[in-house]
Amino acid sequence: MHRLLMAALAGLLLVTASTAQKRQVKLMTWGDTTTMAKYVILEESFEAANPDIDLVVEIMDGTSYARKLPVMIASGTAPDIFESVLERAASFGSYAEKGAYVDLMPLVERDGVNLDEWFPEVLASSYYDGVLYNLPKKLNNPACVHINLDLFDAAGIPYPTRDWTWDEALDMARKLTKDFDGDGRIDQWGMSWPLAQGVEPAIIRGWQWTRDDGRQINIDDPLFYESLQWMADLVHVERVAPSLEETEGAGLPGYLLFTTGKVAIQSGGRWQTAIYKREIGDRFRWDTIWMPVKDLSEPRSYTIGTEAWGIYRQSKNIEDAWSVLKWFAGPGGSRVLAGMGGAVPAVKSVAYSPDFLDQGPPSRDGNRWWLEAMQYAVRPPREPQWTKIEQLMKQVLKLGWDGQRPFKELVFELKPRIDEILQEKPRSTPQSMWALGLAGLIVFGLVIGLLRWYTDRGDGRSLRERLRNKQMRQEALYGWLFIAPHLVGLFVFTIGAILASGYLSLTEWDLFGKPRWIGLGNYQRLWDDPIFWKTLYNTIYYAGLRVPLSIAFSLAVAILMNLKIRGILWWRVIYFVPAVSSSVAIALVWRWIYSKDFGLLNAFLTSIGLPAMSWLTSETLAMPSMIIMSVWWSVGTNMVIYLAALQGVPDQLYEAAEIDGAGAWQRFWHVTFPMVTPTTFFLLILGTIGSLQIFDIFYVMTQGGPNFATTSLVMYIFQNAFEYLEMGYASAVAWVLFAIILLLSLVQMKFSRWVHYEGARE
Amino acid sequence: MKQAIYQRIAVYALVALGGLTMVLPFIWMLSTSLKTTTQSMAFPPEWIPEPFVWENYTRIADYMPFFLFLYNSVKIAFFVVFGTLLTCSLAGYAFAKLRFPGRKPLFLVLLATMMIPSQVTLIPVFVIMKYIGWINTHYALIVPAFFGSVFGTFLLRQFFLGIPNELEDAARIDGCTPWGIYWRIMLPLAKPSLATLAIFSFMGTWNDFMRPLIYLSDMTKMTLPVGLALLANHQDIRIPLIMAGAVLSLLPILILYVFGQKYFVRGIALTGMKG
Repeated sequence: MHRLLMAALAGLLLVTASTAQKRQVKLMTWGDTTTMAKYVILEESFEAANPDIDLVVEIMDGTSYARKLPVMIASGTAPDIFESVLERAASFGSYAEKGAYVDLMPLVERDGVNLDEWFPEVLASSYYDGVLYNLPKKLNNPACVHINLDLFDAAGIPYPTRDWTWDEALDMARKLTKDFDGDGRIDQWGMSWPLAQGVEPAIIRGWQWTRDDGRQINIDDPLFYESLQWMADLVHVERVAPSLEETEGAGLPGYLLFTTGKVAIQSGGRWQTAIYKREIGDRFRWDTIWMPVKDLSEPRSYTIGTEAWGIYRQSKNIEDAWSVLKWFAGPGGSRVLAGMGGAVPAVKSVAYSPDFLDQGPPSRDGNRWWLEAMQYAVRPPREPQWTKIEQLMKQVLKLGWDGQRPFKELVFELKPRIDEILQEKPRSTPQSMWALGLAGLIVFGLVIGLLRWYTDRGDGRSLRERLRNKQMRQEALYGWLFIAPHLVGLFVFTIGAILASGYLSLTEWDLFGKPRWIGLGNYQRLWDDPIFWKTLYNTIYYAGLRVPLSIAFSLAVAILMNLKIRGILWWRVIYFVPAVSSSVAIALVWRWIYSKDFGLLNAFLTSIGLPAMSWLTSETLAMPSMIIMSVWWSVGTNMVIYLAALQGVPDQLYEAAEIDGAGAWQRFWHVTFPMVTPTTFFLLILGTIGSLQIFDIFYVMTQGGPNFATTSLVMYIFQNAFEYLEMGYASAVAWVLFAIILLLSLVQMKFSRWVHYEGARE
Repeated sequence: MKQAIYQRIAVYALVALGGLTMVLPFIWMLSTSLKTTTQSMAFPPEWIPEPFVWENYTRIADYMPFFLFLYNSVKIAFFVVFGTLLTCSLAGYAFAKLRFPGRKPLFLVLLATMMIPSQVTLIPVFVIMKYIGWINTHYALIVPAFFGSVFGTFLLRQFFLGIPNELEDAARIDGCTPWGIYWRIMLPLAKPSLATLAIFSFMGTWNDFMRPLIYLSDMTKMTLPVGLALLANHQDIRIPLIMAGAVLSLLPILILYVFGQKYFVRGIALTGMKG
């Protein structure tokens, strides 16, 4: 048996050992499954010309990419080349600020690369503080509208022209929205605006992001909230557009309704045309045209989105990465990419060539208008703090998009919070004395505690005597040897780590450079941080409801399972299945069950005449939904523990109770319940500790939304540490969690008894 | 008598209803995984796929390298279980049976650290891994297991405490070193406890989400749950495919569960605190 294990171990080690390779360049980007196919072609054409370079392309989905990259950059494991959207703070500004990119200018000058190859509007975005960090690949925006020509024909409505207005668009949408079978469910939508989640509806009407020289966000401008409201009302008032849940709920792609011919007018970008061509085929005729305007006298404006590549500063192979980048972003790569459809090439000669102009939807305006639209480009602010602002806006404005609250109300709540971030001065109120005192106190407490344990046990002297004996010495040696690995773990990964965490919580650190001491600054910030309080509340709410409910159900189930019924063992197996399943699989299926429009739960509710609910998208309902699911998930686990306890209740007690004439309920209340009280207590404490650490299911099911309604403490730690790289602040939140759990553990220790074991050597 | 029959029927009905609630989501998962995209969005929902789209399972393999994820998961779980068993059994035995200076205070400190939630040490351990250069490698997930788990040590110590000292004394008189006693006597005796701990740490590792999510970034290095979660984020992968992926990700552990129920139940009964 042991030999077998060893052989398996050796085998695995061999497999994992890396083999020598040719010079590797790793490139990371995001995209869907079509992107993967594109890059295979790019990769092949590049490697054919450069046989000595092994190009590895890694493609993630957009969300994961945005979440992973900051940590990869900070930990020195980012790929040699990675893609950014130059106009976004989260995707470019914050990385540029942290020195993530190689300055390309010296390489450009050395190799005589002609920067005039690229559109100047696009190249301008590639600079940050005057340094060239990226070479642009494609232009994703301006935003455009895809229309299903067949649906227009069927309704007898003339196609829109490039000069159509919003009022005309709404009018068309009303005529195109149809409930064919009269069941009250719309079968064909006039419009769909998946892109409306952002601020684009305001941008296209000419809204400016900030005022007062960037010190104030401009969202209290009526233009902003009225534009957004107008869009949201299409769904909730006009009923001409599907809700977000209907378009993207349960992980559905936003364009699905369009490609299945259920939407006549859909907002989008040029990049979607490649997908549409593949998905729609010859099923219906479609076209891509300009966004509507408010009135023709006003200038148009669109957010520009430039996809570009930069080289990682810590890359070990900058030269080869540069060869790849030069080719990919230059005319060679650009031409290959253009041939595959999608966004607008950033290289002028390619954009004006038939490779771009002659492909794409059979547009009545041709493809040239995309290039014309570039002049109306608007650049959003991209300083690092906008990462957090965007996140905040997304969370809060979601409530408006879901029709839960009017935008007019939300923006006034949001504005002071954003302005605070914009006007934030670096926190420099060193309270080092305080912090030092606190740290000292902790260490002192630890030392004293250790000493007291040691002396109280009175082991000291007798052991020293014992050590004189040779056999005893051998035993002590082996003892130390045996616990050595665990001891290292204890001192490095636990005690060392906890001291380090305490230290970090008193600093400001983004993994770059050295931590900066700010004393109790992080704790002060916690105190003033409404999101922290909300997550704390969420976590307590979750634990406070989930644990008692779960315990009550588990006890009931355990009593059932303790009955002598045929096949009970098999039932136990079944009840236990959720407990062994991975949280991700469970979260995914429950997300689907909770779906507002396609979900099992709402199907059941509507079939018995109840209204359908927004289980995961309503601010008030999201947490109860999580709790219901968690109770379902944890019943099996708790049941097993209760079963063991129930089997320990002596039968005589029940017999005695029965003789005294106790009914079933009285037997439960006066015998079973008191007898399992220690178990209940144990489950209560441990369940609470476990629930306070909840992360997985929230992360997969709701990503913490809507409006932070399901952001747990641990999620907040995770986000701060690994998405915003605020290690200090995250550590401070972790210490709050630690304090709560410590308190609970102490309560448990106080009430649980020590058990005596037969063979203990004293 | 009649009342007893009604009672029995009521009990059976309750048990069956509860059981159904427990498995319904899994049946729904399976049913959706075999549907066409259009049928998966039918309202009211349909339970029986029409037609059965078995290709969903082969198509998901185009996006999700199932066997690669499986290999990663198995590899990490294997080493973690191995490391935990090795370190914890050694330490558990030492703390239970060997006398050496510092035994008690150390054990108490060790026990006390059980109260520390892993999230507190998460960031410093990440920083340590960063300096060693183990981010985006499986080492970051495997190696800490070789430095023991407090819970495992505690569990095995309790087991070893229950073994009578006479057995050990006899072996010692025959000239057995503590290592010999550990290897030849204690480990074979501890098999059931080791199996329980193995299942316990296996499940923890197999279903672990946060640590692989933090440490791994290459798609080729992902474990099954994290790979699946990342895949589900892809906008153009339809719900039947996601459900097919979920079914596939559950299969290995469910098969294992069916065969090793006893140890699973014991392993879970030990934790009592599933996140």
